[in-house]
Amino acid sequence: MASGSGAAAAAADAEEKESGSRMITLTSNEGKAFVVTEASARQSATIRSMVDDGGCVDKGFPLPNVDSKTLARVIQYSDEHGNKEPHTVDERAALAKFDRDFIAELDADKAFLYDVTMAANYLHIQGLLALTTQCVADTIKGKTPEEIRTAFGIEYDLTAQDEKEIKEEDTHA
Amino acid sequence: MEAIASTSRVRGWSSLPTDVLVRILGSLRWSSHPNAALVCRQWRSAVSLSSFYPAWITPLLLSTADVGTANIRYYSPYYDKNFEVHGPLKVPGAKICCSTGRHLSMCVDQSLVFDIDLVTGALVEVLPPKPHALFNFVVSDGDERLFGVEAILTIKVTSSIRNSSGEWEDWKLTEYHLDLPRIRVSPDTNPVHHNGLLYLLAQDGRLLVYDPCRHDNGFEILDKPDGFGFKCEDSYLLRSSQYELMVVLIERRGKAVHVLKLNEETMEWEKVESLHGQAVFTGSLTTIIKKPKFKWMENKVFLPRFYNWPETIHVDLVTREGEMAFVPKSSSYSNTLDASITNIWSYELGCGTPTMEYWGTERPDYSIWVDFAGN
Repeated sequence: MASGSGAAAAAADAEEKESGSRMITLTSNEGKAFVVTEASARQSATIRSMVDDGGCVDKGFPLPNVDSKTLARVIQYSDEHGNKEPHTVDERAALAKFDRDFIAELDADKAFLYDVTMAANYLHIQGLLALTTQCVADTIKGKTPEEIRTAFGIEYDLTAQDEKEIKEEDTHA
Repeated sequence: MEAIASTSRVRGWSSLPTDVLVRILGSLRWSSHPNAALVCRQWRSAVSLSSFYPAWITPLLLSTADVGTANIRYYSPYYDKNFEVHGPLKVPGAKICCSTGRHLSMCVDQSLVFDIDLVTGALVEVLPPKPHALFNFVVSDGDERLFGVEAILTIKVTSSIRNSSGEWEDWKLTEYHLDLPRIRVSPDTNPVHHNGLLYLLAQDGRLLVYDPCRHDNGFEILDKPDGFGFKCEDSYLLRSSQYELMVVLIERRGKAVHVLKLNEETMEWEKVESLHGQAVFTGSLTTIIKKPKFKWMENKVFLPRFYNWPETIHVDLVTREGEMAFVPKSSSYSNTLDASITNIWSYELGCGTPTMEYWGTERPDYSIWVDFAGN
C-alpha cells in the first residue's frame, strides 16, 4: 500500500503510465484515507464494478461499514493478492504462506476475524471471504454447540421448543 | 468504552449474515449441521436455508427408466422420495450388475465391464471384451478382484485381478465348466463372498461354490443343503453382518417372506424368526442387510415395489468429507416428512400380522440397492 509519500506517488505515477493502473483512495468510516493501487482495489468485486461503471475514481470510495483497523488489514490482503501475480512455484508457496500467517493472526482474535469477515463480505473479496469462512468452519469442527458458543462469544437465545425441533429434525445421528 | 466495543463486536457472530453462514456451513460435514443449528437462532435459520437430505442414513434404491438415456434416481425409504440426479449412466443398454459403496458395476454385450463412480460420474472401462462369455453376474471382491459368472446352460466363471499399478488383468476363464442343465440358478441375486469363497444360489435352495484359489475347478455343487423347505417365487442370497449365509424367500405376490440361514455344521437351511433389529433391502441383484437407524425399519424386508410412485425431487449429489447428501436444485419444495406414510412395500418378520400382498404395486425398471454409508 502506498502511503502517499513522494517517492511512492512517483513510483505509482510511473506504474500508471506503464500499465494503465491508477491509484484509488478508500476511506474508512472514521474518515481515514487509504491510497491503494487499482489492482489491489480490484480484489473487491464491489469496488471493481464501481470503477468499471466509471464511478467516482478521483473522489475515492467512502466505506461507511469498515473501520480503519479492519480496512488496513483488508488492504494488506488485497495488496498481496492484487499487486503480484504468482508465476513460479516459489511465488505461489510464498502467497500460500502469507495466507496461512494472515489467517492465523485473525484466528487468535475472533472479534477482529468477525470484522474482517464482514468487510470481505461487504466488499465482495472472494479469496479473503473464503479464507475467513474456512477459518470459522475449522473452529466449529468437532465442537459441541456449547463449545461453539464459547469460542465465538455467542449468547444462547434458543427456546427449549427450538432445541426440541432441531433434535427431532436431526436424522443423521 | 473499549470493553463495551469489544463485547458488541463479539456478539456479532450471532448476527453474521445468513449468506456468510451458509458459506461456512458449506465447509462443514453435513452431519455437523444440526450442531451448528443448536448454537443460536441466527445460525439455525442459516442451517434451515442450506437444506439437504443425507444420503447415508439408509440404503437407497438406485433406478433409471432407461439405462444410458434417463437420469438416475435414488429412492430413500426414510424420506419416501425419489431423488433424481441429472445425468444418465453413460453406457446405453448396459446391465446394472452390482453396487459397492459409491461404485456401480455395469456390463455390456459380452464381457465388457464398466465401473461408474456415482458421485463424480467418472466411468472406467474395467475390462476389455472377450468373446464366448455372457455374464449373468458380475461381482467385485472389495476392490481387488472381479468375477464374471455365466449361468445359462453351463456355469462358467472368469476372474480378473487388479494389478499393483491399478489396471485390470485380462479375464481368466476356468477350464472346467459345470455342465448341468438341470440346475437353475436363482436369476436375480448375485453370488456372495463368504469365507473366501463365492457362493451361487440355485432356485431349489442348493448352493454352488467356487474357490478362487482353485480357479480351474470352477463352480461345484454342494451336496447339502438340498432345498429350502419352503415354496417361494423369488430367492435372494446374502451374507449377514455375523458372517452367516442367509436367503430371503418371497412367496407369490409377497404373501409371506421367509428368512433362512445356513447352519454350517449340518449344512441345512434353518428358518430365522427374527432379524434381531436388522433390516434387509433386497429384490435386486445386490442385497443389503444392516441395522437401520430408524426403529420402524427394524426386522423388515424391503422390496423395490411401490404402492404409489414416490414424489421426485431434482437434486445434486454432493460429497463433503466423505458424507454424501442430496441438495435440492430448487428450494421450492415442501420439507414435510410424514413418517406414517411410505410407498415402498415391506414385510415385517415375526410380527404375526399379515402384510398386504404386493399385488398392484409398481416395480422400477432397472434398479439396485446402493449404500452410501461409511464411504
